[in-house]
Order: sequence, then structure tokens, then C-alpha cells
Amino acid sequence: MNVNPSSPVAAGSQLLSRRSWFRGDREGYLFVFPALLFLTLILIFPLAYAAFLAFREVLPQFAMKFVGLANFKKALSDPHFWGSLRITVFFTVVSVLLHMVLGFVLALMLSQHLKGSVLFRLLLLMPWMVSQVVAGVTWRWILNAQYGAANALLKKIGILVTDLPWLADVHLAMLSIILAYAWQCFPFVMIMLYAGLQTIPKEQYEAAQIDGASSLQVLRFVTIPNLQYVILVTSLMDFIWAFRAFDFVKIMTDGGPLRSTELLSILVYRTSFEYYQFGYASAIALLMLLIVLGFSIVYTRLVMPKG
Amino acid sequence: MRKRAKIIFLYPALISVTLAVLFPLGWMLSTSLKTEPETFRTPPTWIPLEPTFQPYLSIWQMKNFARYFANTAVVAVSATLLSLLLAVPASYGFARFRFRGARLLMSFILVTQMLPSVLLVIPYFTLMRIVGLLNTHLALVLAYASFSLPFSTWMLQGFFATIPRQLDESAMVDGCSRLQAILRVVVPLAVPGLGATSLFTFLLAWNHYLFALTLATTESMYTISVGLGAMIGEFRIAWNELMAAALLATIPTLIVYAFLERYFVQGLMGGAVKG
Repeated sequence: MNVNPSSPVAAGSQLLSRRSWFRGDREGYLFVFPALLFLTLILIFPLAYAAFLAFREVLPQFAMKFVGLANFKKALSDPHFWGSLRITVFFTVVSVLLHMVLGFVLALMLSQHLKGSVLFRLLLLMPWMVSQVVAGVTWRWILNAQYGAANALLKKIGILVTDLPWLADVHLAMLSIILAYAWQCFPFVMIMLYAGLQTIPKEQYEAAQIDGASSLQVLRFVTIPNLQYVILVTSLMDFIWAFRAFDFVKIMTDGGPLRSTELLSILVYRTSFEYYQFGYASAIALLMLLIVLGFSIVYTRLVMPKG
Repeated sequence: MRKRAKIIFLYPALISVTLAVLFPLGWMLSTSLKTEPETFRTPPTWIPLEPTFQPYLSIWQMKNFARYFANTAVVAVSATLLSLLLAVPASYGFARFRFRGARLLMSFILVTQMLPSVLLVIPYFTLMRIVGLLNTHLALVLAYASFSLPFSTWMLQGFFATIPRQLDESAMVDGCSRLQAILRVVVPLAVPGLGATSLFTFLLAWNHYLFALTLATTESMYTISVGLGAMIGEFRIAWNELMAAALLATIPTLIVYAFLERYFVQGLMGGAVKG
């Protein structure tokens, strides 16, 4: 379409095509509508209902009583809520850091164009295909104090003399769930960062080499700046997932011993399906959502590269 | 010189990490082939002394795992199809049209990804009770499709954006309708993206626990995850049977993964990573 734009014919045809594009663009709503309707019905409607429940006390036979902010006030003065929040934050922060470090180191190793790196990639990703429930039962068996593989292995190497009660000790239980979760989740971080590494132009590495940069300098000035966006997105996703982690904790410790691994998600589950306090549980879950949303907004505003 | 040093350091490091990562899976396999008394030996035997398939037979025949397996398969396949059916048009819409509010709608879709499922499960449970869908496959299919839809739309949108607009336009000039252009020209080119999103949804639906746990009120509606969770709750845990069940639960995901893995990495590079 190399028509001189100043000619009236061209201007007319341009106007025409822009208008037809405009009409065509409104067609976009048609394509997007079914997905939006579906999400509204299946997610937003329940979300609104959860907010409705959070201001109510659910009585037997599902009768409801409006209680105002009572559920939220109760949460903020409930030591179990604060304890659970502290545990959740600790679990989340340690997990995300661990996943990022492990994932980054392995992604770097995988992208060195070694022979067989495709095979390593395939094998290292396998834990991510395993469900959290399967990971949970397997690690519960490995960490079994009496018959488990972990104690046997550590004793054999000479690190341990006596068996450790991995899941029965208040501190070890937290370590255990962090370990099991890292095993299951680091592959996600690894593959995201690996994919990101593949998109860095080769020329930048070559240029750095010509300038005589050391490996560490290449990492600092070429790799990490290029990966910034991927790192931020991946760590944010990992954070959101870790903060709501549930399945494998339910299987491995169910919040115990002595509530030492009772993450907020476990607390919400027990409050609703063991104590049938649906209103109170909804209030805690809503607070969870606010925390995640607040953190995500602050995080993206503060750390995201502009534009 | 540098290259050699790299190789000498990298291979042992990669191999040992890989072995450590695969160890739990190996232990799972080993335990699943043991007799029950052998699982309680100290120190444990790394390779079963008398390998037996009895644990597999007993979970399949004595326990109801065949049923759980079928339930999970129905739910996972349906959820994958439903999610694709909604994500393809939506992501095409976002990639091809510049309509008012597109950015806002996309952010809306992505924010739904943040909703913790433990928040949604309570109202979803009561809603399904009201509409009479409690204890059905459909309740799970709808939930899982909605969980994967945001990510799928986002990823596919990135994919469609890389396919030149001129392709579907010229197909339409040649007399195709918009729908035909999508189905015959765009979709075939987006196969890696479709593979990646299918893998994502299938895994999510196959593995999910919380919703299946609360929405299945009778044992005949259990998914594999719920069946496994129930075995942990039993008074005496038969670890060889539990590991056999865990391994069986994992095999389908590994098969799907083996077929779709390369698409997944491509998909991440094409859609998600570039943002």
C-alpha cells in the first residue's frame, strides 16, 4: 500500500479502512465475552458470596445472621490467626527464596549447551508433574521417623546418629514441608528462568566476551538485567501459590504438631469444615486475599521496570 | 580450556542434583514393589528383596482405585476441553482486536488467578448444594476450567500475537468466514500454544485436591487425590499400597508431559515470558 498519503484517494481509503477496522475491533467483545461470563459465574459470583458470608454467622440448617464486622474483629484478636499468619509468611518467604535460588542455578546450568541437557531438563521437571498430594504422601513416607528413607540415608552417610522425628517435632515439621514443597516447585521456577534465558540475544554475550568480562560480570550485567521481567513475574506467581499452599501440608502434617505448620489455608479449612464456622472462615480467607492483593500491587509498583 | 573446566564441573553437579531430585520417585517405586512386612524393615532395603505386584492388584481390586481413576480422567479431560473452548476465542479476541477496555478486561482475567481456592471453596460448596450439583463431575469440571482459564488465555494470547494478522485476513479475503479463518489458519499455527495450555489444564485438574475433597460427598465420586488422602487417614497405613497408588496417579501426568513438554517450554517462551 505505497500510495502517497497526501492524495485524497489515499486519505479516503485510509479513513474507510480505519473505520472498518474500528467496526472489526468491536467484534473483539464477542470473542472475549464467553470467557468473561464463565469466570464471572464460576469465580466472581462465589467471591461475592464469600464476602456476603464474611459478614454473617452461619447457623445450623444454613440459617444466617448478619453480624457486621464481628468476624473480622474476631480474627484480629484471635492468637491462632496471628500465629497462622506468621507461619504462612515465614513459609512463603523461605520457600520463594529457596525456589528462586535453586531454579536460577539449575536454569543457568541447563542453558550451557551441554550434550544431554534436554534429558536433564526433562528429568528435573518431573517433580512438577507430580501432584501435591502425591508429593505429600511420598515425603511423609520418606520422612517417617522409624522406617523412612531420609533417616536411614543420613545415618548411612554419617550425618545423623539417631533418628530424627521429622514430622513430629515443632521446628523440623516446618523444615519438612518447606523441603517437600521446594522439591515439587523449584522446577517451575527453573523452567521459567530457562525459557527466559533462551530469549537473551547471543550478541550481548559475545560483546561482553570481547570486552573481557568475567563470568560473574556477565551474570551481573547481561544475564540478570535481561531476566528482570521474568524473575519478577515468576517470583510473584510463586509467592501467590506459596501463600495459599494447602494440599501437601494437609497430607503431611495437617497443620500439626501443635499447630506449628498450620498455614492460613489450613486454618480456613479447619474453621469451615471441622468447626462449621463458615462466616468466620470466609472472613479469614478474605483477609488472605487482601494480603496477597496488597502485596502484589506494592510489589509490581515498586519493583517492576517502568513500562 | 574454559570449556573443559565447565564440563568437568557441570556434569557431576547436574548428575548429582538430578539423582537427588529423582530419589523420591525411585523410593516410591521401590516401596510399591515390596511386601508389607518388608516396608517395616530397619534399615530399609533400597531394592525390594522379593518384588511383588500385589500392592497394585490390591488397590485396583480390593480398594476402589479403578473408579477413582475413571473419575479423575473424566474430570481432567472435560476440564481441558472446556478451558480450551473458552480460552481460544478469548485469547484470539485479545490478540487481534483493539477494543475499548481490553487491557482492563485482561487484568480482570489475570486477577481472578489470585483468588485463593480455600476462599472460593466455601461459597462454591454452598452454591453447588443449592443448584444440586454437589457430588457431580460437572461441579469439578467447571471449577477446574475456571482455574486454568486465566493462565491459558494469557499464554495463548501471546501465541496468537506472533501469528501475522495478514494470514487470517487473506484467508477471509479468499472467502473464509472469521471462524473458518481461525480454525483453518490460526489454530493449526498455534499448536504449541494449545499443547502448552492443555498440559497446564490437564495437570491442574488431574492433581487438584481441595475442591475434589470437599465436593465429593460419597466415596464413589472420589478422585485419585482424594483416594490417596483417605488412605493417609486410615488407622494403619499400608505404605506399599499407598506408594503403588501414588505411582499410578502419577503415570498419566508423566505420559501427557512426555508428549507436550517441548510445547510447554516453547509456550512459555512465546507467551508468558515475553509478557
